[in-house]
Amino acid sequence: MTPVGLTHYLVLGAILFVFGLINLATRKNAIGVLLGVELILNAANLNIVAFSRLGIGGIEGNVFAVTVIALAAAETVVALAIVLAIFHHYRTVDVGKVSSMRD
Amino acid sequence: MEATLQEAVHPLTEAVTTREVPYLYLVPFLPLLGAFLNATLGAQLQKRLGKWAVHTIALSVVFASMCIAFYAIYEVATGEERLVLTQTLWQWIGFNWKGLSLQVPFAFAVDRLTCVMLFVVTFVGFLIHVFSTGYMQDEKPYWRFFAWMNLFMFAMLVLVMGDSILLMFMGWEGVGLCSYLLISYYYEEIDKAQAGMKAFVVNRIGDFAFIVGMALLLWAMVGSWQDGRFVQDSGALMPTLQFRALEERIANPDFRNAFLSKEVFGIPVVTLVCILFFFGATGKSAQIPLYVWLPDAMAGPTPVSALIHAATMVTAGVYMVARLNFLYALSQTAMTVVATVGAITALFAATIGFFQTDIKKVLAYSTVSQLGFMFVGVGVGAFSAGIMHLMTHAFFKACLFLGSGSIIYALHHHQDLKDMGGLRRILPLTFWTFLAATVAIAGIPGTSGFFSKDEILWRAFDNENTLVSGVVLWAILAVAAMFTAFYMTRLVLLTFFGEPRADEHLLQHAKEYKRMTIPLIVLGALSIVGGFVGVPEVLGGENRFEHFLEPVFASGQQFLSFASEEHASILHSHTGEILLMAIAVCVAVLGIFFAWKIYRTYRSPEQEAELFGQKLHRIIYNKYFVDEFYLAYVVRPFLWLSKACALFDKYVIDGVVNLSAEATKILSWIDGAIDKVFVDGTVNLMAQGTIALGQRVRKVQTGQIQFYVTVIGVGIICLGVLIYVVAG
Repeated sequence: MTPVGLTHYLVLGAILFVFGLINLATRKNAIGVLLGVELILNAANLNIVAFSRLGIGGIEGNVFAVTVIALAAAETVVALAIVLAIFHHYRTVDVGKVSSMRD
Repeated sequence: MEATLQEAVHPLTEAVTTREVPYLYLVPFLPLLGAFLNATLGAQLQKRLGKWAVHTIALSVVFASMCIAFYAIYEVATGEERLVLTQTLWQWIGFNWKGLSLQVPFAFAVDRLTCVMLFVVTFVGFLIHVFSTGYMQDEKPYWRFFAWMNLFMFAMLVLVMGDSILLMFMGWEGVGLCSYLLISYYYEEIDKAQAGMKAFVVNRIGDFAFIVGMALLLWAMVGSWQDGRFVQDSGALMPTLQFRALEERIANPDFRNAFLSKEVFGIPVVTLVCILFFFGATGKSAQIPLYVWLPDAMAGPTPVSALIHAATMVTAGVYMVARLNFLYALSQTAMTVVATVGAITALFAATIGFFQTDIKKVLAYSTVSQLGFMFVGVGVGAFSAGIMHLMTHAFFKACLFLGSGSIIYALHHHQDLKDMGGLRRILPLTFWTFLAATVAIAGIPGTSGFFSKDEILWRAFDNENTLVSGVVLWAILAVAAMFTAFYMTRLVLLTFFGEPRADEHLLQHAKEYKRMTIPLIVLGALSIVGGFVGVPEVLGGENRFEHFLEPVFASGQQFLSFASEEHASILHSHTGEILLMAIAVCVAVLGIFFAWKIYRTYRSPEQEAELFGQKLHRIIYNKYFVDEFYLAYVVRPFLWLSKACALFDKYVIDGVVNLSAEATKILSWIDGAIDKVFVDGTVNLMAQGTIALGQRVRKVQTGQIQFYVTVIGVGIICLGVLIYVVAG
């Protein structure tokens, strides 16, 4: 059993990122899309923390991670508010159908 | 003799004193101001304020101009003998060419000769303006008449006051223009408009000769023609057109002798120049062969005939010859031409006056005839006699014309003699003034015409300056004088005596107007007493007029004395002069007597024809068919020529032009096609391609974020694979 190294974290981060990206690209539901964004952010967080712990060391990575979490929370709040407004307006949260600003 | 002449001439010309005065320009420019005001504002003024506003402007400027002119005359008359008042306004022409320079200032000058002209032009001009306010009062374009009259005064004053031949020529052209404008005053009537055109065109023929003369004079001053080429004299002075400078130069014997030896086509230049100038004068002053316009010019309003075609403009030619006396005196041939043409015209025109039925036509031919007298005067070297006749003629002929104007106005523009007769009682003032002018023109002793005409007759007889014998000239003039007395008496008898032949209705309303009679009285009085300024010595006078003008003609007389140095005929004595005078008076009385015999009772043209013979009457009545001759041999061929030119223009010149235009059109069509197909094709193709591409590409931009994310993702994968493959 090999100890958990940097590579494992990075691979996990990559997998998370890809899932997030696929989620982002394929979900019709706006909430789902936000979840995808959340996944991508966390994949990045995981990488940062892993580098911080197993790479160069120091506290900068952790600071970044905390900042990103805070950012993600704020972003989610704003995004959910927008989704709510969209729902009020369009009676749907399907991102494919919200297209009145096009053309 | 040569030496004495040099000494004699030089001091005289050097004795000229010039005085620069600041007010001369006002004399011509005030009437110009009046003309400008009336031409621009006159129509409005007439409509808003009435006709008085128009003639107040016109009369006040002429009056002011007259006052200033009188002051100038006073200054010259009381000054030194050869005092010349000058005013240089600006440098008019100045150019350099091949080392030659010509400077012509825009300058006015007043010497004693100009004084006489100034007096005649402003004084008679003012009187005629006054008369016009009566005569023209019913005319609608009243302002136009006065605008042109003022413009005429300007041009005429420039003519007499101009200090150079060129400025004189400007006035010369100006009076021609005004003459045209005023003859065609009633331009709605085609024959009157045509009369104006005829006057203008005939004058232009003369003016052309004048220009050629001027150019020839300029050239002759600085060079000569040798073997058909112009060669500039070495050390030649700069050419000049100013009268005094010219006179001074000719007074210099070296220059004069060189000048006299120059020839063009074998004719001495000086003769040619003088004859060309004189040809110009035959146009302006209505002499043979260019006199034909003057009788037609009677189409204009009568005051115009009085001012322009009797008193002032037509005398411009006489003034010009007198002004250039030093030049004419150099050429006996030119003097002969002037005197001979004058004499023949005097006789010729007098005979035409016999049977004219239009009162103004009679006076017109009389004017032509009297101008002939003046030309004989200046042509035989009696310059002051010619000028004196010019002045007295201005008085009596203006009076006659204004008198006829008064008659015509009273008879509502009937001017045929058959409608007159018996007007003595109806228009008494007109009658008496007309009679006064008639005795003056006939040359009854004591009147102005007697003194001036006799002076010319005597000087013509007693001259050796012309190649034609003086006796011949004298004889012609004496006969002409008799004819003058004859036709003038006939005119008076047919107009004022006998039974009235006009409509009863017309005669009841016929009356005289004060504005018209006052000028008549002044001019009538001057016709009688005006001659006393020049009573010849033989009659106990001292001929003050001649002495007054003597300094002006001094150099002319000096050159003439070449010929008459040895001249001492028996008739060059008081006895001879008195004898000639007696003969002249006799012929005048004879003329009056014959006219009285024949025309005591009215005679219609038919009766006249019977009396004088049908053939003679027919020829004279039709003015020797000169107009018809000109029409057939000058005007028609000229028209044919111009038609031929027009055809040539139309088919040949226009053909070539049109052909080249067509060729250009075809060429540009081809060029256009190339442009359209190739150049535009390429440009359009690119544009179309871009549009098509854009249409396709814009489909990609869906606005679906998820599609973009997919594309980005796929793109990154592809990039990754690519990097992996390429970079290994």
